[in-house]
Amino acid sequence: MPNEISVCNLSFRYQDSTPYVLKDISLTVKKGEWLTILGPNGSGKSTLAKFFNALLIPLTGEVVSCGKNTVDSAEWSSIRRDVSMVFQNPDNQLVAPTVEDDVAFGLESAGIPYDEMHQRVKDCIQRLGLEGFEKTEPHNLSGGQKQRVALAGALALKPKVIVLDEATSMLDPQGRNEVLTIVRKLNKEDGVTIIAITHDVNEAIASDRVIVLNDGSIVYEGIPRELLANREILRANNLSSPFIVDVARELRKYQILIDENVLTHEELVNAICSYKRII
Amino acid sequence: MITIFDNVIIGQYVPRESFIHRMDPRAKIIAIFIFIVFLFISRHPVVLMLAAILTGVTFLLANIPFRYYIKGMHFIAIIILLTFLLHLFMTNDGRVLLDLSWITIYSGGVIEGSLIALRLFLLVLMASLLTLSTMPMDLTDGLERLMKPLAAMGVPTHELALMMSIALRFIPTLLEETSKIINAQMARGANFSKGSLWTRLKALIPILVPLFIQSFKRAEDLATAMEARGYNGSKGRTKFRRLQWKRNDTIAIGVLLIFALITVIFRVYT
Repeated sequence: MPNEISVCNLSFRYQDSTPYVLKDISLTVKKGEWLTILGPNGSGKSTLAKFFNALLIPLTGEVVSCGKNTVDSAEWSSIRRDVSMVFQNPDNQLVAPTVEDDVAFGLESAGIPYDEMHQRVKDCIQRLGLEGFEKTEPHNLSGGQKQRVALAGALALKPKVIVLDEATSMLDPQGRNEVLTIVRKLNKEDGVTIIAITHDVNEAIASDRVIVLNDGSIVYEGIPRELLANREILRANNLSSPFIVDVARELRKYQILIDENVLTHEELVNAICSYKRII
Repeated sequence: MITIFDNVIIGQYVPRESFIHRMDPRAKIIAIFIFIVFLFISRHPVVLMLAAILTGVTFLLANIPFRYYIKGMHFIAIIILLTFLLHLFMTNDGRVLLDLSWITIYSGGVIEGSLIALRLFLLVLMASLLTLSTMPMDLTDGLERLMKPLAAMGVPTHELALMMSIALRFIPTLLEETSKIINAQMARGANFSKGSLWTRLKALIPILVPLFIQSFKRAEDLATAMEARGYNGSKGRTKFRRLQWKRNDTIAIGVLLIFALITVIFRVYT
């Protein structure tokens, strides 16, 4: 599969006198995949995210997004249309006073004609289950709804990649599920490439591939199942293992042998039920 | 606390299906502008009567109950009353109506005072009509379009409109935040209602400092988010909202122009 984004030997620091935030990062994101970039606070993961859509420009190394080198300032608006971003704080990324105006904001910037804009806004609002909220002011929405509006605004630009920069970290469990369900749908049904930046290991479970970032370097790359079973790597990078994995491990201590691969709630329930039957 | 601010964006807007509500915001702004300017051009009773009729008709057309107007008028009422009294006491024209040792009231004062008070009242009523019948977003839009010609002279009309709309978006958020900070500081033992004025003013500092810091953080986040969404200034930008100038708008402006013409005629020939 072709690469949607490729990062090559990227190093970065904010000022000449400060230490490097990113150290010689190289990675590729394949078309249609769901990549999770995991890392503790201060690992440089949010900084890395800003390189994908040319919010930051590399001084050393190279970032190519959707076939366009981010050094080329003429390509920036087209890169930002292809690579949309949803940020952490739901209150600080909605620009317009009503939901539909906000979904339209990126389209207005892109110069989309009136009729098409209205069609796209309508489609995206419907797609994200926000019908009836068109004229609502953002401060009357819940956190999950606000993030869905942000996602709708990102989706309206018909991006090839959506970057979620800790987009669920400030939400309650319900809001988080709302957002993740939609992200999954966009990834599976529309083939949008997803890059999820997070410090929550649970969010990595559903993704295709995980990269762990610590102190500006990539320390692990692999599929989520292997990472979650690997306690040493998790502990070395200040990542807590998922609750379900912990439960399974504790059960194993009591000679209740549950498969190491159990990661989700459902899998655990199934494992316990089938275990009973074996007895 | 938050509930008080719940409808800031809607502002004073009273949703109704009326002739006035359906008007283009541009037409409303122009019409009110004409009305206010020409209201003060002539002081002939006929003109004032016309203005009163015009206001009355607009009021009836807008179909907004009078109590909504009163809500915002407490402060203005004081100003109107003060102006009336000033004119009453300061004018030395006409017959003496009342002669006390410390003050003399002339008939001219009563007339002058009433005229000014009536004009101010009509003006305020019309101006409230604008905000009561138009959503702030539409007002912003209307203003932006009307200022368009100024853009050629280098006035940043698009930016001004964007600022207004971002302000509309963030006023409730900031109010919510303020009440959160107040609660947080109260939980830490802050007291905002005791002590001298100076002490109470100083008590505001622990509210303002975090509020400012948070606002700057917000501004930075918002700027990044806007950039990420391809914001590029007004260049090559299309609009989600479109204003539609209808026949009714032309008629309304026409009526106001006739009013303007009559005031000028009265001004010149009497």
